[in-house]
Amino acid sequence: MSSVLVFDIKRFAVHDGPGIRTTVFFKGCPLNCWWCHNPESRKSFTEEVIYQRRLGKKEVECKKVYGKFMSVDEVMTEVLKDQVFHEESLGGVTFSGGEPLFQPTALFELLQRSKEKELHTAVDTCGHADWKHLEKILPFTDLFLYDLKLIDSENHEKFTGVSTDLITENLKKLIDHKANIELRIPVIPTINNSREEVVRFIQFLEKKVKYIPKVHLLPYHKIANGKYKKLGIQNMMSGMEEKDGLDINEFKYELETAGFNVGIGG
Amino acid sequence: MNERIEKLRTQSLKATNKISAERALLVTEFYKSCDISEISMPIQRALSFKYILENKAICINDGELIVGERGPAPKATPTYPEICLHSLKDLDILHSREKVSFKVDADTRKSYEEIIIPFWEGRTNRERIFQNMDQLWLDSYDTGVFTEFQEQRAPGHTVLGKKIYHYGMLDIIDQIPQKLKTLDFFNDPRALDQREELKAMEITALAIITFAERHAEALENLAKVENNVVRKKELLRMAETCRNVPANKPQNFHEALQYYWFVHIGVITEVNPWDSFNPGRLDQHLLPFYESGLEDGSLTIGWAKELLQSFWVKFNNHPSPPKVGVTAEESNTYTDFCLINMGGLSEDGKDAVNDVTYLMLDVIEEMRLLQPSSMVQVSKKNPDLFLERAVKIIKTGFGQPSVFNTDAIIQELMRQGKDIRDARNGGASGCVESGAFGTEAYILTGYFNLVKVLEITLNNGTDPRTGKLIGVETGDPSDFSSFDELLKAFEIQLNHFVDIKIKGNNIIERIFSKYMPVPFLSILIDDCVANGLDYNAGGARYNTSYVQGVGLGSITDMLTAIKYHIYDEKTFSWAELKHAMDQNFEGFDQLRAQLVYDTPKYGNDENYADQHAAWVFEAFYKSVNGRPSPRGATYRINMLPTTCHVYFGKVTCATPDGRLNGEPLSEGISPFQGADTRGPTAVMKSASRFDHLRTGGTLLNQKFSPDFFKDDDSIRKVTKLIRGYFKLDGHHVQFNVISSDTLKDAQRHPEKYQDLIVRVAGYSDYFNDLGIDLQNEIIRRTAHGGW
Repeated sequence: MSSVLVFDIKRFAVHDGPGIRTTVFFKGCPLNCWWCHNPESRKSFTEEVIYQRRLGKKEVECKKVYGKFMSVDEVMTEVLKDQVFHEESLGGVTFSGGEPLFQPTALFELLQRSKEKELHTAVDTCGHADWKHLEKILPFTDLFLYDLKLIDSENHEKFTGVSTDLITENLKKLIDHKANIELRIPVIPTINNSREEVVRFIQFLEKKVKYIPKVHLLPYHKIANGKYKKLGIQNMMSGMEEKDGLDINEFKYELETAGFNVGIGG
Repeated sequence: MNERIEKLRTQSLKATNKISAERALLVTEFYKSCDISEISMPIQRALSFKYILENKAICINDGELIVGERGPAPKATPTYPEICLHSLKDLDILHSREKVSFKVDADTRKSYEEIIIPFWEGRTNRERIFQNMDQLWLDSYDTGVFTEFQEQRAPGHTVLGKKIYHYGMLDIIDQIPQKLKTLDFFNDPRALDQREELKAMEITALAIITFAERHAEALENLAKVENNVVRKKELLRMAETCRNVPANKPQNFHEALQYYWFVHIGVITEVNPWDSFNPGRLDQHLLPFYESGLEDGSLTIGWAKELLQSFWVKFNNHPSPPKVGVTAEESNTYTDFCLINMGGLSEDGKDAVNDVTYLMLDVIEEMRLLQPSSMVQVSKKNPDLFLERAVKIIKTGFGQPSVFNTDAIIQELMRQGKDIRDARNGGASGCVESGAFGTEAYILTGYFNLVKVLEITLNNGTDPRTGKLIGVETGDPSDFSSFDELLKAFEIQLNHFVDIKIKGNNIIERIFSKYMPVPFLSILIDDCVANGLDYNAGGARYNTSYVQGVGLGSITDMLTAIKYHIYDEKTFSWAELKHAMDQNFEGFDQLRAQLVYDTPKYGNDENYADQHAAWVFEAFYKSVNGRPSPRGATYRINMLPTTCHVYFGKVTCATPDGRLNGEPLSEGISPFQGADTRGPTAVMKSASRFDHLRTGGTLLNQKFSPDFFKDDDSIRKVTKLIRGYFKLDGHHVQFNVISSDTLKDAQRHPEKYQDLIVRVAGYSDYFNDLGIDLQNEIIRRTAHGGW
């Protein structure tokens, strides 16, 4: 049995797929997105940080470790604690991150085990993974929450650290394999919320409309600033305002005009 | 809502809560007017009831459709000096206290000073109670080990069934001579008492008819001088209604509501019963009248709604009678806990959600009043649509309706020995208490401070706040070689204090049955007439007495912290912990942070902590459940606090869970404020670790940010969350949808809000995990944007 580096398991997750879900966040990601909401999930090892615990007005300093190695059994025990709620709501489990495909063996085992329990399974991925891993999990994955950040490969590389090659290629392959896909586009001020980029999205997605039942636009919020500070990581988004660039509703409108079913939020 | 309702609603909201001396003066006049030593107690009570109803002012508010006020005007609140006499000092406190005040004008004060106090001093039920309690009881009461519900208020805690919709008071009176004929004066020593009780019942039934006729007369007089033809017609119709009910069974929707309301006023005038009184399954009772009215054209949906709205206002006009002292601490609210039930199952076990249910939900949403409280009964047989409708009202954030598990309630009642049909006709009242409506006297006797009992155990029988030895000397815990020894010592203390409480209860119960019979309430609850026995003496078909456990979350965390840090991890010693607690953790921030943050806590679905909740529950259950009471009731437990967790916290020093001296305890079966960090499903799993079906009710509160409910999908998920909890036999859950004020407080005291979930952007997160600027942004969002 594999072990997996997890940074959090959230219960009553209600925006990561249908029903009430448990979302398992893997730690470790091949991308370095400027706008990353979960910077503590990037590194593939545990990280110790100092933070302040609050007791009323007082603050008490303590250490906290991001990340924990868990066996597949341990993760499943935690996931199945909410089985009654998963079943009642036709929900299940979502594997997210970081990037779950960055730990492919554990992901495969967890998906397999989840399907044995008849849970609905979702994988939230950036798509930057070896196709053989995706192919392997395909029969055990009911839904892919597939992130698409930028179509322009040069920009993609600049803002995330990798090119779009694998990502767009894998999306095409998943469609060919009739996978159930919901697309997630983080709308990032000045980085991808320009008219030109929207046009690129539409051109890229045009032929895929009928295979992608839903596109979610995720608005950017400056929520992770505190985390960057705690981790001592440079925050590339500092100085950026949430409202800069094209309005998210216009983004939505353009995609809808192109025939997509678009929602704002997860 | 139309102009009429808007006006009535505003009048109710704006009315000042004040003391009215009317009832106190009338009851004094009555007792002065005759030589009461010649009259049996039930008849004394019946005649004083009659005297009040014959002489009190009749109040008809402009435009209202349902008539009858307990006092001379809305929110003019009577007092009950024969039960609890307020001193001039009490009146001053009531008048000037910051929360839940009742204004006392000069005339009222004068009446008290000159007439009421001189007559009642030394002869009230409250004095009778305290004189009969022994030192052990008084010490336990003073230190806050338990409270006593019947100290200032009469028992009650019951709900009306369907009787009045089928029988007029005249029909009930008709049964009395027959019953009198069957009394066995040759062999049955109770025969004389039964005769007096039955006669008293008859007097009260006639008195309520007279009261209605006085209203009819007043309405007819108003009609004579009314210039508006529409209102004139209305007044005459209302007069006709008051001529027919409660004398006869109701003929239509309007009469059904008016009948109930007269009965309600009667019950809360006779004495000051806890939880006022309650029509219970109102949507069930009204359905036949609603359907027949729509069919024969005498009723429209709009008119039915207007009548319900007018009815709703009446409840809001009637605050809980003034409470002082510990009673005010344990239940510090104007709410009188009238909890209207909707949905659930019919007597034959079918889905009982109907058109009136949805109409009532509309009324609740629109009226948005503190009173009456409302709840939905949700059975597995009820449709999701019904639950979703309720959640859509809950999300508007005023705490109504609360949500109950019908299937659990029925099992709870049946376990207590009730017939399945009586169980299905039941529901929940007060806060969360299960009862068989119309057939059961289920009397709450007082809150029991589980945390205090552990505190006394940790101090070898002494209360650390007062230094008094009031428990058993079970040993200094630092000498306990194992955690189990501590549990054993706790059990000894628990049984010691439960014994004291039950002994006191049994005496108080006898005092009420002897000195404070309630013949009017008795004609309403089966089988008091058939048994010729008063409600307070065990006349009901089913009799239950409850002791309400408080602080389950806190005591679980205390035991868990002790086991974890002292016995298992050996983080620190008993002496170190004791010393830090004695200093109220002053100078022990690190240790306190460990207790607060590095300790397993109840509410996170972790066995290490939750096992102690289950253990405490079993110990409390074993100690109380099944004991008999003199009136033939059985003692049971339930787990609810009203506001008592705040009072119990005030009298409890710093505790091993890191809680500071005087801070509130956990409420209901909810985790300690902020201790649950794994979300609502984890809380529900923890809360279902013990057996709700062996209680008479448990109370779970969950807190959500309004933003969470932004769309229909989220609402559906919340309904599924509720269904999941109910599948685990959860009894009740209430969702608190948070305002920006609370979020601001959450910024100031984050440790108390660890469980607060907010919808951020494309995902949900814990409020505490967010940076200050986002917190501010969300506060702004909530304040302005709403949904």
